[in-house]
Amino acid sequence: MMPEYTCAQCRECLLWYVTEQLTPAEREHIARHLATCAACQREARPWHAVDTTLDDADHAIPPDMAAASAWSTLKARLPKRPIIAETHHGERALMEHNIPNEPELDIRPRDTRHGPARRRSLVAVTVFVLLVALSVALFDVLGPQLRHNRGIGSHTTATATPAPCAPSQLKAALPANSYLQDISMVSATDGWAVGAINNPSEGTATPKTLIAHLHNCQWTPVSDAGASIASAQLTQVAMVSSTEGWAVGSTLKLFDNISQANGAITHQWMYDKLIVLHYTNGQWQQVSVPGNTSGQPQALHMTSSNDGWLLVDNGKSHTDPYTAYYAYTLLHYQSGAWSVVPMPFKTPTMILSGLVATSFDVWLDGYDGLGGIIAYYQGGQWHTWGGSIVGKLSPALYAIGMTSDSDVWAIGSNYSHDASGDHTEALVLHYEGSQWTRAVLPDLHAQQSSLMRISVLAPDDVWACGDMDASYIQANRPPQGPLALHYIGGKWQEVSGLPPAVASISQVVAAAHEQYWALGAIYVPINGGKDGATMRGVLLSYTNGAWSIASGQA
Amino acid sequence: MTSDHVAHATLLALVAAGDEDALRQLYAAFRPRLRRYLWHQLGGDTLAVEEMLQDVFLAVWRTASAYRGEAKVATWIFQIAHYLVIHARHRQSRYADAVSTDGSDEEDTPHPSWQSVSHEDEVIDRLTLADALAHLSTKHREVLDLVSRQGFSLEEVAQILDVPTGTVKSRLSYAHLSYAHKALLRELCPQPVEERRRDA
Repeated sequence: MMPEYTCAQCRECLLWYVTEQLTPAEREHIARHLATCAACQREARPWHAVDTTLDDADHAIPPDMAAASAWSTLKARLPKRPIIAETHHGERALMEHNIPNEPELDIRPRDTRHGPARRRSLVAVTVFVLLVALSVALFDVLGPQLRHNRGIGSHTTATATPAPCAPSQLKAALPANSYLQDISMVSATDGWAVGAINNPSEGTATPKTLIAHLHNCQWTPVSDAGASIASAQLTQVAMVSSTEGWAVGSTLKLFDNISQANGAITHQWMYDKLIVLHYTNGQWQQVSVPGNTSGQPQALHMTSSNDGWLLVDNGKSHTDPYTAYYAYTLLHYQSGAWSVVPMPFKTPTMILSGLVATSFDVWLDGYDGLGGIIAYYQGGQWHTWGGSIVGKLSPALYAIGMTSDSDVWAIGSNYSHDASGDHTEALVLHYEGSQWTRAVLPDLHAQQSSLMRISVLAPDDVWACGDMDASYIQANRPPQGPLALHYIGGKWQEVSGLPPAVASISQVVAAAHEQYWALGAIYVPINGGKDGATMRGVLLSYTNGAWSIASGQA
Repeated sequence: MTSDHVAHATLLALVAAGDEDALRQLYAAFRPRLRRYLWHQLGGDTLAVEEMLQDVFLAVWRTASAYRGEAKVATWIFQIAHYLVIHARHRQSRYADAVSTDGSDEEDTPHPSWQSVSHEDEVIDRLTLADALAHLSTKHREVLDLVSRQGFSLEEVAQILDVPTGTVKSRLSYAHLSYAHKALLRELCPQPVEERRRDA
């Protein structure tokens, strides 16, 4: 039998009771007492009034539209702090020069304002200064690693700085017919890549999901429950730490078999259902998400272990034989659960391609019949740009990346038409917080070019990749070459030195200082070109100033 | 210990080690609550609120290593915010109510205007419940806000304000009386006084 609350006990808790902050047991105590005590009921009424008026007062607060820009301002003001890092010998060294400033007002909470603490802090500062003096050289070696391992709009979330793999150590022991589609690095020596065994586009064998892990400088496939899902492929991976990450893809449904001239049967696959895998406790496990899960994932971005976004392409349908309708679902992961976020776009003929997020907002881009689409969702509201975006462009946007909401890149192609026909020209747009501008690109000497993937590793380290002359497959001829651009030193330049066989480059991620991994594809004629050609995925490595094919997939 | 507190404590430890990303996560987690709190403390001045938010998190960045885990991270951060608000008020001298500067345990006295106003004056005044909020002093309003909107316990509010729990109870009791008084007036005088006098 529960002991009854006295009036004094009840009245002491009334405000917390009215604002629903008590435990269920406490609430029951109060409710039982109020049911029989008119005096306490009268005492409770003013608290209800308090709750109501405070609620009304809160509603008068305007929406918070400044979160992201305010963070950027704050970040720029942060005084330098010592960064403790592990060297490859396990030594700990302080790597920054500046000593944190003491605040003018002693705002330390009461539990820290004691005499000994002040003395301890002075000693700590002295030791810190001595350590800084001894460790400047270490910063020169390890600093660039830290820079390359951070950046929004990419998948890198490294916090540790282990020594990178020496070029001779790097190996990729992947199965034959491996086809990788995305890569996410946790550190220089820890990364994950996903794709499929048996390229669905080649269609000669049933694909199944592939997850590969970079560990001890070698890429090897894993055999978790999430890997080796038959009739499926994985297309994106985003690691938030060495112990947690997400991978998405879709199951595939066979819709046609095509007989080739050489007697081989080519399977035609279509995307069926979304697959979402969560890596925790050393295992990749499939999880369910709400909303429309038909189709395939379009983009995945995790900002932290508690926050992330997933754009799902639910496929194309027709309202009539002449009108295609494209549907998308936007999912937000927050505090352990995925939920659907409604999108504001009215035109059903839009195509959404790119997604990138911070803790405060999510950005999308794409295109429709009127031109480009760029939108961001912040503070519960959507803000959009459409049409030409900049000047008199006719953009189609395929990817978006950012370091902050005052440093956003959107890439794709610009369509134009003249007497010689239709043209698509690689396009890069940049947003610095108030307007979009078109970036100057090097002359690509290509009839057609388009940028499809972007990796923003830092404000001055951005990679954009795509295709030149994308019709080479249909035209049954070798491509003009891969299209890979690098933004560094304030300008865009073509990436040189790619292996000649590489026809296209997609994802680029930084592994360490001057060391990158990239996914690309090589042009492979079938039957000497008589039966057309296909593209085979390859894993590329950039070390010691040169690109090489690390995994020559069959 | 709630999972939120554990997560926040972990982030704060990373902030103490110089991790800007951890500070960003704390900023994202606490900005909405702090913004609401500061909005009411600073009279709805958007610019002042944004400046204060910056100051709070700069202070978190600078003093994260001083956090010893004796209070929840939320309590610790709101303590910082409270001190900075007091400091700002001293600097700007824009509030009429007396504000305790040294955290001493002064007794709270009822709002002088409430005591001196006659029953007839209150009736003429046509105060609403919303006005009851506006007529509370900032320190009484702050206590209400910290409890009912920010979800802090009596002890946590006492830590934030650096006053004994008895003082917090006293301020809550005063706020309660103030609302009870205004609610009683509404019940007694549903019509404007001018209209009742014309009817008489």
